[in-house]
Amino acid sequence: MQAIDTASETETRPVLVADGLSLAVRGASGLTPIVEDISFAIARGECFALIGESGSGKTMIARAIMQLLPKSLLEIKGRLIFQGRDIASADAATMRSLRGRQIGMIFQEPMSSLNPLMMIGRQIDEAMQVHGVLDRRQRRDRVRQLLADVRFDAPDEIRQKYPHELSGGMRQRIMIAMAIANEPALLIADEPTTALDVSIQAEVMEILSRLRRKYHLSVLFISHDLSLVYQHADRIGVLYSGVLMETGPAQALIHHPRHPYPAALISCAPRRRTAGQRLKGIEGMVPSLAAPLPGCRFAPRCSRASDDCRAGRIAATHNADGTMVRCLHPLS
Amino acid sequence: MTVPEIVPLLRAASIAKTFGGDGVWSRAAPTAALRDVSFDVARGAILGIVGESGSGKSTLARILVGLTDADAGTLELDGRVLFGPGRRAVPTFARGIQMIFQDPYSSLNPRMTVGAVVAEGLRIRGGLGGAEIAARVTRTLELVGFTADACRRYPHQFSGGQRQRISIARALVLEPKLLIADEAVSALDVSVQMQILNLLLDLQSQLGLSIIFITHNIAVVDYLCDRILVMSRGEIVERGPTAQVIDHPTHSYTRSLIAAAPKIA
Amino acid sequence: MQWFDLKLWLGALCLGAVVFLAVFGNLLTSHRPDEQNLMVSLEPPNLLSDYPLGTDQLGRDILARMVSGARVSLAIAASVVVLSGGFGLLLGALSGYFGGVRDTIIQKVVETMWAFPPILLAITILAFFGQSLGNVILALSIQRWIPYCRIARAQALTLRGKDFVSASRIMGGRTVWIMSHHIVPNLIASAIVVGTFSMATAILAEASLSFLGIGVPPDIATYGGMLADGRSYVTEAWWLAVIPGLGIFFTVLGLNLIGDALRDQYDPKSHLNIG
Repeated sequence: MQAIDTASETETRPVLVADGLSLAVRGASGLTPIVEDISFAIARGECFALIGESGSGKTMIARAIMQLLPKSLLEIKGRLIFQGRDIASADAATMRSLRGRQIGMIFQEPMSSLNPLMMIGRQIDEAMQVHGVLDRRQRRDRVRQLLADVRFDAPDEIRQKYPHELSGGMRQRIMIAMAIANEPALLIADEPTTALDVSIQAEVMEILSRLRRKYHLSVLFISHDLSLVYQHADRIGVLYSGVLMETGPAQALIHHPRHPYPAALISCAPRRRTAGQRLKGIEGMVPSLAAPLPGCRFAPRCSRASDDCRAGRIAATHNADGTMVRCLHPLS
Repeated sequence: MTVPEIVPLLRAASIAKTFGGDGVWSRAAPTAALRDVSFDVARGAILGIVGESGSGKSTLARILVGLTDADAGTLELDGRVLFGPGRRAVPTFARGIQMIFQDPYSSLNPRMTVGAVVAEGLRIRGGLGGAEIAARVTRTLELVGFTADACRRYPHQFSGGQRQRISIARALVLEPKLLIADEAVSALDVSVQMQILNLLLDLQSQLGLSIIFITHNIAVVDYLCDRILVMSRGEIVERGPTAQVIDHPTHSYTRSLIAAAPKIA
Repeated sequence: MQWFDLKLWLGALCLGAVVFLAVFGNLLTSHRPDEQNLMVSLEPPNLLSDYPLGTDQLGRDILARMVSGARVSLAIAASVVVLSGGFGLLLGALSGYFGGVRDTIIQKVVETMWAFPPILLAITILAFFGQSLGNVILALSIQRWIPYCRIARAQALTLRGKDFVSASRIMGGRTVWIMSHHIVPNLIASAIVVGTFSMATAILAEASLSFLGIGVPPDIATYGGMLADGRSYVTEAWWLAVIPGLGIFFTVLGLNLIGDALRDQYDPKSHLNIG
């Protein structure tokens, strides 16, 4: 079952590959799709950002990938290959051994992942203890190292504190420390800076970049903030109503988007008006994830849509340079 | 011969506010939320107030609108003193200032129809018949881009951006002179933010409405506001025309704020 | 939502049967509940006879007494819920909305009252003021307002921080306006849920009081009283105790099922926020 790679294979093989992955949640009113047929790959040390607005499905995707929802409620189709292993249909025990060890996660609201009754040092220690790799002395040193990694000048002071004594930014840094404690290959960051002030956000993103370089960490970064992702991601995937519309290198995609949706999104980002001119938003509303729409889900709001766009499912066009567009009338 | 002075619409002088440390029950040390804040808002202008959490910008908004009392300072609107030393503060509804909030999901009562929401201010004030109220409600809803049939629907049937427009309608129906928008687009998607920002620009040009726009987002402020104040820890650290402050910040805090904001180059 | 339907319908069925009995009982039997006829005492239930549910030791028609019992139980329970609910809701809403010193004082009163064992309190009141329908309602209401107060206060505390309340204040809304337009309407849903459960416990409480002989005056037939009477005849005439027991059972079961279904509807634990 376990794929044993040679050192060179580990270097070149992508850490995470989603292949035709479809996720759906079983609720009282039946099956609600979260995402449909998404495919992307994250190389070692790469930061891949999934960008989406509300109704894109990005809120649930991290939890669904990590099977943080009960199995009975989640339906997974397609493949999700982590370090050569398909974990889409992995059982609970396998996922448990991966989570926190090979795959780390940080969420938007750090307070919900921190135990208010436990000292910080102990919580980080526990994150390692659970996976039983290091002994007590080694863990203690590691905690100190981790706290220094996330820029705490006085690590011994911080380990004695309780979560409520720290600010939001500090808690988020603790979360990062806990997530990378066991040197995972992949870090899933679900809107980690959305609740933080701009200056704290910059600090946290800088820490993440440094840790990526130091530990060759791959990151799956989920966000709604295009400018944030422009600055920090290597590649971007644009999600709209559960469908991946375009993927490509971050800066190239934002400067020259091929799909009308990211193009519209970029053009309505607020910036200084020239000569009193106005920018336009995108007309219309995001279709509900549960609403069945034949054809392209962006068609009702797209200025380039034609009848074929509404006819049937749009296939993804994979280009030679590794980019992908799901559009019949892409911009050149 | 003296040059006639253009009287600003709003004049705030030395506003101060301290929290905590009052009364026997409080264990918290007193914290100064606002320290000697003074500024003007010109008629028909949009003033941006930029700051992070703890800067005091939300406290300032609440003081301007009358939800909280200042500990010191004076406020004048259109030459009329709203609060000052030795006088009773003018109550909220009589100030001619209205406010819209950040969270579109908690700013409308889920049990009230849109029509009732927008009409509420008129009903509280009283003195108008049902038909006149209905007419004003319809007019105001049209101003923000809705048709009259929205009146019978409930907030949960609308999206976040639409709810913000309903909140704007609620504020406008009382014909305020100044509108305070407290992080009004921060909880909205980028594609929807622009609709609200453009609506505010329309209201400025069509109604001559003056607006104070509070935010932490430099890009939004750059798009919308004529002048900005930068606040940090209860004080105004820098002020001036938007483009000038953003392009040539003089205060170190402003500089660090602008540097920290992610941009698309 | 299947569960919702099943529970709701089952509950409605149980409660409906009892309500039907109370409302249309007169059509089912021609006897009066206090009509004694020693000639037909202790007749077992026989659906085809003149006494479908049998008679008690004094020859009184059990069915007629069940009808009376249904009326009394439901009337008392409904009155108790309306009285205690109305009072508790209002007090809790005010307490939560005002906060501060007023809230503290009210909560101290609540805690003091909560410390009294409810049945003891009820007994004391009835012993003092005498047994009558009104006094029973009072005795049962005297503590029952507290759960409403707690729930209303908790919700009012959340509601008063909501932006739509702030907006109302900015527009000039005073306490009465905000309470009536914003706070109370948003409390009604949970109040109804508490109400249904509270009604169930009120019926049980009333039955207990009647069983102990300190409920409504003995000449009015109630389930509790019938149970007490039937206690001595359990071996020879099981129907004297079982039938009123079933009456209590179905009433309380119906109310609990309905309350549960309502709570599911108004308070869904949806951790699945899509999108």
